[in-house]
Amino acid sequence: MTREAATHLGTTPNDALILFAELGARLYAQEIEMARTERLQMQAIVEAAGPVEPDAEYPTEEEAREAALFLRRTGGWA
Amino acid sequence: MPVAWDTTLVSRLTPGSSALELFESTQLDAARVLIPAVSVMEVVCGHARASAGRRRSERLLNWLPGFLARPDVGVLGFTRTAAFAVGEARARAPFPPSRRARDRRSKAERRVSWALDMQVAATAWAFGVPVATENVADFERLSELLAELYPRAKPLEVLPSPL
Repeated sequence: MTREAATHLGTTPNDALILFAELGARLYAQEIEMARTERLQMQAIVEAAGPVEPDAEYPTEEEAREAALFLRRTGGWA
Repeated sequence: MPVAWDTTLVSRLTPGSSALELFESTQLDAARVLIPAVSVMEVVCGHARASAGRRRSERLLNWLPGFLARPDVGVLGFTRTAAFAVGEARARAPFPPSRRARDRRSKAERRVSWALDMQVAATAWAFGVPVATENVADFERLSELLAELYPRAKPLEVLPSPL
């Protein structure tokens, strides 16, 4: 891989190793940034959902079971 | 910044193709091309359906796993952020925009395709990378939809096909 890249880049394998380390660090930084963005986008979804009312009524266990059955029957996307 | 390719472009990644050449030439750059997992699914499904009696699809189906396993090939997974966004987007816009003149797909096929495009768009949106596509109009609509739903999020940038 390194030798192929070196040939491709017109450089020596040792130079290519250094280059690869630099590129690896850069790509790793990109992945960290993308993971960070993914968390921020989730935060934007949370914000769009708005605050949860303290006295909000949540479905009872029975209601949740009925909802699950409904989704199973309809496929959920009908 | 990396760019996600949608299925219209990922499907053109075949041995010896100009798409593969372009893809490989970006992999060491900051602007490398990434592949959404949803597009992998669509491409594999297309080849698998067509493979009976078609040598080309069979060969591509054999080639793809090795390609995807390469360390320089980045695949973007379908995250919880993308999943939630697609759920809301589908509820708001369950039907694809009106059919284009040359589109011969059935209504059902276009609906499936719309839902999958949503998944690709939401994947790129979730990771904050632009999406490149041959279907700019639909992806721009999806970008607008995500912006309407989540005004404080980073908007999805849609780029035309580089091929």
